[in-house]
Amino acid sequence: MTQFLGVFLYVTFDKRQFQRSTQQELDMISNIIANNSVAPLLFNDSLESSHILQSLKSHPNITMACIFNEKKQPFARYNTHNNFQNRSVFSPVNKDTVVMSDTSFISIKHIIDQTENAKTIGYLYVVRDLNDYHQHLAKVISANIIIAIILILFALIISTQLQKIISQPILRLSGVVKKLSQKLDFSLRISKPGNDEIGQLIDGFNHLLNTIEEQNKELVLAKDEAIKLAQIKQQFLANMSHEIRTPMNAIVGITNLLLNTALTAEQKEYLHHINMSSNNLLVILNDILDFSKIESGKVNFEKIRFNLNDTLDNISKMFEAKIKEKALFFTISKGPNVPAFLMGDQVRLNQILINLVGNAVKFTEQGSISIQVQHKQDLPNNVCELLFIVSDTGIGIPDDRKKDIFESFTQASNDTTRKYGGTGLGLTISKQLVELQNGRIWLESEEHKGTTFYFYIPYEKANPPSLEELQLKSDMETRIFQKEILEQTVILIAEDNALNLFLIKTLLTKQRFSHIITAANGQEVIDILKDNDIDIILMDLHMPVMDGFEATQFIRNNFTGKKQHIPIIAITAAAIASEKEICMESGMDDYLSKPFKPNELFEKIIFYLQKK
Amino acid sequence: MKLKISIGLFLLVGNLTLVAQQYTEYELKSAYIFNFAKFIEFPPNTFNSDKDPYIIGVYGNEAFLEVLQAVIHGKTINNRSVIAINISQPEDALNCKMIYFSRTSITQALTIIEFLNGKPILTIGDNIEDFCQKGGMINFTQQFSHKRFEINPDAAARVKITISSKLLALARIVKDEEVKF
Repeated sequence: MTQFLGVFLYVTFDKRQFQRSTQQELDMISNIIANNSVAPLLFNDSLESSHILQSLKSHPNITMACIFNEKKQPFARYNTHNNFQNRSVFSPVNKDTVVMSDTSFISIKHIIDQTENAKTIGYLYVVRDLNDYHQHLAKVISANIIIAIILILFALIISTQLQKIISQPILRLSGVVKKLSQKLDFSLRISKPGNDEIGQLIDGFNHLLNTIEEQNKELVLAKDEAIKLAQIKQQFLANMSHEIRTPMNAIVGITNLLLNTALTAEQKEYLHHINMSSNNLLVILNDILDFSKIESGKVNFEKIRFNLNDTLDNISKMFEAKIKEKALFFTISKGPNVPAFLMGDQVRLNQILINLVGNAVKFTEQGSISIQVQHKQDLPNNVCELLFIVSDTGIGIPDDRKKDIFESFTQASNDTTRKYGGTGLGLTISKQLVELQNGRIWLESEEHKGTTFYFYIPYEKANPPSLEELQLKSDMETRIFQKEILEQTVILIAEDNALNLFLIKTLLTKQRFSHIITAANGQEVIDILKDNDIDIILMDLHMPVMDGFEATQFIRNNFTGKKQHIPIIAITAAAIASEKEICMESGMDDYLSKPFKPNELFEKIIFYLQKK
Repeated sequence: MKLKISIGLFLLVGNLTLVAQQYTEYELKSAYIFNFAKFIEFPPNTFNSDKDPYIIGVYGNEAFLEVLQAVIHGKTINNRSVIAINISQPEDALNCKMIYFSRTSITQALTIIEFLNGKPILTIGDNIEDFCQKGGMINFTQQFSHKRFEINPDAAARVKITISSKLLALARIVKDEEVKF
């Protein structure tokens, strides 16, 4: 491109030069001719004048010349052979001019008699063609083009050389980078052509790749370790859960049994304290396990229909005694448009309310506590957000502690644990439970005046139970009292822990289940089922020889008919969500976690008996 | 006196017979005579000053003089005014720069020329026979001649008058027949 620009500029310049020199030459020639033509004009000697013009023959490019006299009549003429012009008339000009066209220059000059006051005595007309210029131009252009081509070739050669040295390494570099980003293969390296800047760049790049590769290896190792640790933690949780709950279950259960026996007032009081303590312990244990679960993201939420009124009632009953004891004023209210039946996790809602109300009760010495439920807003897909407000006139929370209150392991003050007890996990768990259900929780508080906690959770609105369901429920409730059925039902309990076994057996017996068979492991369950008619199996999961999962799978795969589909309820100490899924996958029908409420057990048993 | 009368008569006759063409011919020749001056160089100090007029003398043809005077009226040569006079006596010739002999015989002309005695004065003849051959400088030729006039450059050179080659180119060059000192 530069070449052609150069050619163009050169040609333009050259043309100017040519024009100028041609003009000068033409002028000079015209002057000479004009000068020599004065005498012939003065003496009217056109022959001599023509003779003078003939001298123009020697100029290869002058094709015509003509002299006009004072009266502008043709006086003398010169023509070359190939001249087609035949100008006998011309337009008068006031001063000497040169007319320039693409084909010729025409000089028009006054012939002046200097001796007589520069009088114009005639006109000289000279036509010069530009053939020589055109040829010259053609030569110039072709020469330039050849030079341009040579230079271009030269440039090409140099550029290809440069390419090897500069462009190629860079292209290779960018190619490797591209491959890297596509395949993320950090073992790629670039070959180095030399020690110049490009080479250094490539060196640096290779070094970088080295570092990345090593770091990757380390990261992978670290990740594997982290995963292993997480698995170990999981396992530990499961084990601990089981290990702790099993004896806890026994304590709570047997304490309850004891409470239902004949006791002295003193004994009752002692038992009562044990009960309280064990319940507290249970709460704390659950908190810790819940916390760990949430931290490792292992919380699932139920979507079962429940009655909001039942939940509120339950809360009310739970804290009735304590509130009366502290002589506090307690109210529960519901706003308009709050649906009664919801689809969601009632247990978790309960947990949150228990935590908040529990705190309210704990930290209020006088005044009142209130629970309000309001309809916040409707969302699409038949969902509504319900706002819960738990308010008290207690000690309040200082401003500087407000933002930390939801943080794990913190309490409002360092004294709180000593004065009020608690793990400091309750609010954290509540916050996480609320947020995991797509809600939000926040508070308002003024020291010595009181605290109000707000939280909302979106719940799907549920239809109230149909007539059939109610019928079924009431049927079930009535059937509970049908002694005969209970007495006829054969229950197989699989439990390796003697204490727990004793507990369950006692519970069931009290409920008038008289036919109870026990097994100590999965194998015994299978053997017993083979030889006996069983109505329902209560299966512990962790047993020696064969555990609950295996036994259940065996039954589902190897028995036929009624025995194959026998209802199996898992009874387990570990309340880890994944375990529940594994139970279901193994073929179990339901799941109860220890410690359980006796009613829960009964309801489930009745339910599955009913299903038959 | 007698000569004058005869010349005058001759001229008159000559005039009468040429009355139709005469005017243009005289104009033309007047123009030529005037133009000759442009191609003549006199030796230095021929003129006393730049203001000195260029005097053309006419011998033997008063009618021509009138025409010449009309033609050169108001013109200048190299900013000198140009005037024409009649030469009735030889003394008149001495003031002129150019003398035009018209309707004169060669003898008469040569007499005047002799009288000039080497002064730098251009002598022009009106188609006088052998004018240039016998020492005159410029002589008009016959009508329709190839060249309009003939010139004897040596004659001019003798009195140190330079005639431009441009003028010479237009003339028929004549050499001295015999040298006359």
